[in-house]
Amino acid sequence: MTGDQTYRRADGGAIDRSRPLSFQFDGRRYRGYQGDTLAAALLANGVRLVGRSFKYHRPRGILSAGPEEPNALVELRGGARREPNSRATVAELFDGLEARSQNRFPSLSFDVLALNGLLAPLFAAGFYYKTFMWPAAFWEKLYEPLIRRAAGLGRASGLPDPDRYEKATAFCDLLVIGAGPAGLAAALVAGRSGLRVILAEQDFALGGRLLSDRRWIDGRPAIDWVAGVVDELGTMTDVRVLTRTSVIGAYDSGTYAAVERVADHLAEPPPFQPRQRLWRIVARRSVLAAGAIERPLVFGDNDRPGVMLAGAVRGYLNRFAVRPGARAVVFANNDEGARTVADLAAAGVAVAALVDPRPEAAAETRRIVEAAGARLLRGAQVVRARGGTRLTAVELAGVAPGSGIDPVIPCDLLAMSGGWNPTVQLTSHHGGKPVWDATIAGFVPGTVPPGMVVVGAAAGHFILADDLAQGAQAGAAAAQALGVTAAPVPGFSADPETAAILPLWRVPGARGKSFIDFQNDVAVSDVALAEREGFRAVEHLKRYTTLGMATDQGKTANVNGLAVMAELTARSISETGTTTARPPFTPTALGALAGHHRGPDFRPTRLTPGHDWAAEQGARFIEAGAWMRAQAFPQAGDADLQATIDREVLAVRQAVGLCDVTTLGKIDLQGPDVAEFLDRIYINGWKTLAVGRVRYGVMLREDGFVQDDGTTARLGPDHYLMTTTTANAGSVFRHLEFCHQVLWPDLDLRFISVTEQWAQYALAGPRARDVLAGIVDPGFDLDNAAFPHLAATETRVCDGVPARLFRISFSGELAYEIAVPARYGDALARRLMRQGADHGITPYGLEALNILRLEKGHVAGAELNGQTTARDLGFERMMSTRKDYIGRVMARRPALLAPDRPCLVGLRPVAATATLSGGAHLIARGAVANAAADQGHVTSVGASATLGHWIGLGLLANGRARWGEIVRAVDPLRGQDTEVEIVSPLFYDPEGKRLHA
Amino acid sequence: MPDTALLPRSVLHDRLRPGRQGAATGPAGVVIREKTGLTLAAVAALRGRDGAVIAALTALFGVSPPTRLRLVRDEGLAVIGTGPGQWLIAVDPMPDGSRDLRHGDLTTTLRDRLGGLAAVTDQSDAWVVFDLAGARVRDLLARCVAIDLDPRRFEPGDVALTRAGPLDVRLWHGPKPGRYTLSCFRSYGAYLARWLTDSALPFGLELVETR
Repeated sequence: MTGDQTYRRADGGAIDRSRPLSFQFDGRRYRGYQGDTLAAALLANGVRLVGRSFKYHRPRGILSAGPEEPNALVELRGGARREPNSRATVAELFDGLEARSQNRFPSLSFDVLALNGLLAPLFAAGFYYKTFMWPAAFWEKLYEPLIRRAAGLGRASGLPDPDRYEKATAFCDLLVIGAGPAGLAAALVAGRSGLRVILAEQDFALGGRLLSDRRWIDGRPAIDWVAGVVDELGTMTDVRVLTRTSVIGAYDSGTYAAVERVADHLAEPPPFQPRQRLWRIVARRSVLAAGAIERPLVFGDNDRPGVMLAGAVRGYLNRFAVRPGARAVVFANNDEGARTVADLAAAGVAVAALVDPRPEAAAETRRIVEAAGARLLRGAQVVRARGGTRLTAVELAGVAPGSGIDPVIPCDLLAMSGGWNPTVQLTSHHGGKPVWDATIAGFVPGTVPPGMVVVGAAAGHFILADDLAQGAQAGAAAAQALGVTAAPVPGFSADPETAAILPLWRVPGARGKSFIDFQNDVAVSDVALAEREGFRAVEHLKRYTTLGMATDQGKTANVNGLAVMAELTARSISETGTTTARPPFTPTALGALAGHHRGPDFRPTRLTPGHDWAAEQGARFIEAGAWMRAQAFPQAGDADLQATIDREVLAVRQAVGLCDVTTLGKIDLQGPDVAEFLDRIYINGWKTLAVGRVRYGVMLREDGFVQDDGTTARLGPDHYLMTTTTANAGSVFRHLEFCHQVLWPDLDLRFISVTEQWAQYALAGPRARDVLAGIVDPGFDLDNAAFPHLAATETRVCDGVPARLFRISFSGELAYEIAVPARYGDALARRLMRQGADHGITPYGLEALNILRLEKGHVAGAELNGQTTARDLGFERMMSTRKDYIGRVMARRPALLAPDRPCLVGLRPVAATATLSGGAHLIARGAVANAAADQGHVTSVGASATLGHWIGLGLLANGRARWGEIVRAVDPLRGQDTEVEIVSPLFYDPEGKRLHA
Repeated sequence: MPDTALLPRSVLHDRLRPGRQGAATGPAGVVIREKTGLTLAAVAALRGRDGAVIAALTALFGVSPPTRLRLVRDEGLAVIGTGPGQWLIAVDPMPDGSRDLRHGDLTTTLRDRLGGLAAVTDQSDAWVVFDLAGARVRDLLARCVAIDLDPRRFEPGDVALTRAGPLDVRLWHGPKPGRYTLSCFRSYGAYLARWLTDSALPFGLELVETR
């Protein structure tokens, strides 16, 4: 009897009957109303079976009406927006919604994998640790894929997420989490007191339980009271109400994370709107008013579709105007059973019985049950639910013999309540342990995060009038704590109620599987098995049985599970304890955590001022840290990348090349003590550096290993400019800050990064001077005598643009570096290319740069790897003996001075055509290539177009004494074993004549 | 302009589509403009010279340099406190976009006046600077920076040195209420601009063209 909303009540509810909606479930078309959840609309259409369980593929229906739902998990939407494991109980209905049941084959009502149920003994707790262990090789290839297929949890789309997500930060005086009666009262008083308030509610409507129960506040229907509060909050400019917003984590210093589902209630987000927004909320105070989650009762086959939580039943009846069944039995161990009977009867649902395991019943309860035409069965229990894909009857125990009552009651709805668990999870995010409260048979908050107050049902208080008062008090207390005069705390009255409960953790004599964790198919028998096998601690119980480890995080399961364990081990629940709740409180889309930062924006990239120019030249870019640097500039005639590199290298050696070196770190140092500072930072001396000169320097870490290298120029008497490698620009700057602020605050200097201020280009090659002559201002003397190697100056180029000119060379050629303010960087590159056209100027990238420096034996990142000392790299003679500097003492540790320590050598393949590979190990000829025979490794390699063969640098034990020796470069990864000659690292122009040309 | 002259180029030049984009109803909620032609100089007092530097800057500009994270402004010039004994001097360009030479070459002038008192560094090109305005500007900023933007907390004239995700940024309010200036290192400019403009689409964005 499905379709056409047969189970919809004629009137009432918070749905908008003027806005009918059409939707599909498993390909079948249904109708619902605006204001429905998918679950409500399915129930209205008589759909009871909505999914199959994780392990046993048992038919499952709808258990709850909220985010705790473990059963009604569906695939929502289609195409790239398909999202598995969506809870039908929180998915808002929209026109055209498509949902599919999951975890079934071939169809929901006939699922062949339900046979798993017959194999249940095989799938008991810890089954995969036991059953599938042997033979071990079968696990990866056979067992695991088989289990994964059977235990499907829906399918992700596998396509890129088409939606936008964003992250935002909000600040407030008071964050109120949950907009039920207590939360609304807190927000109201705090708002009236003038506090900046954020009220976050996971539902799309405010009111919490007041939306689902027929209650009265101050003599009027509670929903009218809610409407009044919502209106008043709307007038307060400092109160921000976030609906569809789940607070998912409590972090340090009053910081909370919340996910706002901005557009999940729509078919797709409106143009430019995000699907979800992750809020970082920084709150001076918070009120946790997150309510409570009802517990199922644990009896045989309690997972049959039609067995629902009583509070959810009332929600469907009252809020959504849906009758979840035609004939109901209510099974409750607390006073809310009567309320459920009354609501069912009022909605026209036949109520067969209220089954209450408690021996006594209040007069009011008896009156309600009688008025509903139902039987009150005191001291009785449901031991089993009957039915397959839907509930058909319940079997009772404890019915007095001879009472004439049939212990099997036909019904299609069982509304159950085992009591309520306060929603304490957020209080545990700082490590607070919830405390057992026997009077409510539930855990209440223990230590809470600083600044948090817990009120209402979340604190274990289930009387409405008290909750309202507590909330209002908390709002006023927050104002007072923040030094603000609090608005008066109103008094509230509500209809009378009681909240007595007798714990019932599992029904004795239950027949059939008694489920505790529905989503992970964990039953009482699994907890019992864990107990027998010694997994008795709650954390062991959890991991051994997977209790509470599904996406619902055991919101309906955990307390029942540990209470059963407590019974089995004859301990109290308090002694047994509870597991630790961690963020996020509810399943959260990864997209929301990423926000804008995905694809090319996943992390920042840095572009040099000449980037667009390089791109126009056909540059291939490569990431160097965050920087995008030109790797090479392929041209149409180049056969391959190597041909491009060769062409660029030869251009530098024979004519002139242009390379963007903006990315090197630049640090401007000024003050009378800069030279002293540099003396302490670098291994070499700086007090003799003249104005207008540049010097190469090496700096060590405290532990004596090389930190970085680079040049420093003296631009004026008290003005220096240091360069660092691209990779270490940040760490060197931090190092300098530490040295100045902590080690030597007495030194009088200031420094600042100017990396970004200047665009800098290397102009290298025998024709470099000819090109440069065309852009320096007339009168600037570039002659070798006037501006020799290692000269530096501040000048102007191209008709007055301020510039810095350095005669330094990484390639070993006559070379200059020219820096101009970054805004001119693009123009300068284009200008130099025009100027150099007649001289054969060629842009070159990192690959050619690497070959050029290899040919000159200059060290770079592969050699400055944090494990080499100045001595290892051949800088021993630079290490001053006339001053102290960072790393000096530690660099003299005996092991670092040992002769067999690997040090820098050049490597040349013996066979002229042989190639080298970086990372190859250096092994003596004739030795077995194993770790014991390892004498060092190859750090950098390249094919030298200049020399016509491959060259490399390496670190070799006692290397400097072994020039001329032949060893093997063995690369087991690439299968290479090449004989190489140990040579000087200076492959090209060892006398440096070209440098000084 | 002779062929030999170098033309400056803004960070966003040819990089992002200028004009109105995103939500199209009503006035643009956010207006973003890359501020070009600025002259920026960093001043850092040498040891024990804070007072002398403050006196010299006051004499030069006629405004008293703030000693906390604040901005004071006078006719196209702002003095921004950026740390203990540290300031950033910002001079707006002339209406035609050229540099305001009221104080000559700013770095040179400052070096002359502050010789022996402070380190002075030209930072005009080190930062990309975005002017942000519009009714939703604070909502936009809340998507990038994690500071309290309520104008009662971050008042006109207030300055923040903070983070925008992985970036170091400088943000100041005003002095005109509701107008903000956000800057980061120049090389990150395109990344930050994409983030800002993408985040602004829901509010309706006007991206002002720059050369």
